[in-house]
Amino acid sequence: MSLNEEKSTDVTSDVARLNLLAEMSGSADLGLDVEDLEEIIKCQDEIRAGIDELERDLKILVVA
Amino acid sequence: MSNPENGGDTPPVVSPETETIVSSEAELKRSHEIEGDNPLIQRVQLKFRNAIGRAMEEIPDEKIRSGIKKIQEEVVVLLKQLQEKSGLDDMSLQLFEDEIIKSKVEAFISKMALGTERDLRKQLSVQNKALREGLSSTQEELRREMYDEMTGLLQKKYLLSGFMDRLSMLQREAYETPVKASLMFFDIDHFKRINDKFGHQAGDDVIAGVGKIVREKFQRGSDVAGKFGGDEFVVVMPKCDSHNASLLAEDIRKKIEETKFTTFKDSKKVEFGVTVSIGVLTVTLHKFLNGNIDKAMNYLLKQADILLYESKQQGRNRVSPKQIELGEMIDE
Repeated sequence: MSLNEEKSTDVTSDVARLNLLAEMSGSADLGLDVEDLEEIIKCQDEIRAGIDELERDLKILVVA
Repeated sequence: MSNPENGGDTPPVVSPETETIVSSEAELKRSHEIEGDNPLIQRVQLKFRNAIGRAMEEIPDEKIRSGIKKIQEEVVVLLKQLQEKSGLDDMSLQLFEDEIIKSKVEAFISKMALGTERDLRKQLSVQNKALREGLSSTQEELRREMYDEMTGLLQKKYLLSGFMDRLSMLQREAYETPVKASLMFFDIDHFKRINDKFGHQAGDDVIAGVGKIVREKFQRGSDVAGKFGGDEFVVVMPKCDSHNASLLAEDIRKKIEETKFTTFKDSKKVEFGVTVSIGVLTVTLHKFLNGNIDKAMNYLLKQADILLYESKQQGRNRVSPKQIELGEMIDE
């Protein structure tokens, strides 16, 4: 598991924790915007995938 | 606590004293096994379960589970102290329990949620920074690989790759209806003399200056501009007819002619200009090629190079245009 993957897993477990806490709080408003955080993580995953793709392209270009 | 009247299912039992819903007899039994028979502990456990909407073993997160367990123990200690100090019997004590548990659970959840959110945002911010740096460095590496450092134009390998890509795209369209594309091939007149007279740095400055003019002129995403050789440049212009291609070529020629370059010769600042000779080939592509894009590209480059040579022959600093049809001649 790469360092990035480890970090990503940590972040995912934090989001799961926030979701659980939000559920446990019932109707109480915790002032959290979990959806916003999930959106940021989704964007990061997309950027990460974009970088991987770019690096693959670069390897192909260099070899070609 | 099975109920034979409804087929042995165990319905939830509401305890009137605690308003706690006990889901099964087995669960109560489990509580006894874990915490013994202390009614206060059992009651607190059940009230916690109601407050958080689940049993302790149903909390997958270790941090939350241990946190809840800790405050559960604190509440038991607190209630015991309250009982000892106040002398209240067990029934009276229950009046305080709900409020204490509710406020403890709310405070715990709120504190843990805020802390987790803060940590998470911090981590995301660090990750964002690393991703931005990673992206920027990969893009920079890609840019260095593909583009000529001096001119900022595509290197020959990627110019040809871009040319092939545009030809493939046009070939698909030409299957339906003929399409036009233009190719500009030019070089700097008497470039060797510039190097010989003013030195290689001056020559490099000229190439960089010409590259800049080309970059500024061709900003359409579909155009492909690159450095073909030492002082040779090629621009591929899909969907560009002969008239427009000649106008663009003439603009480039004029702009380069008007540009003044400076250098130092014998410690004196010298200003000089250059000119370019341009060949502009416009091709009408028909249903063609039988997939032989590579052959077509080389043919077009050769034809454009011949036009460039014509410009040289006719006195340099000029544009030589030509139109051709492409289809059968490639199939021959």
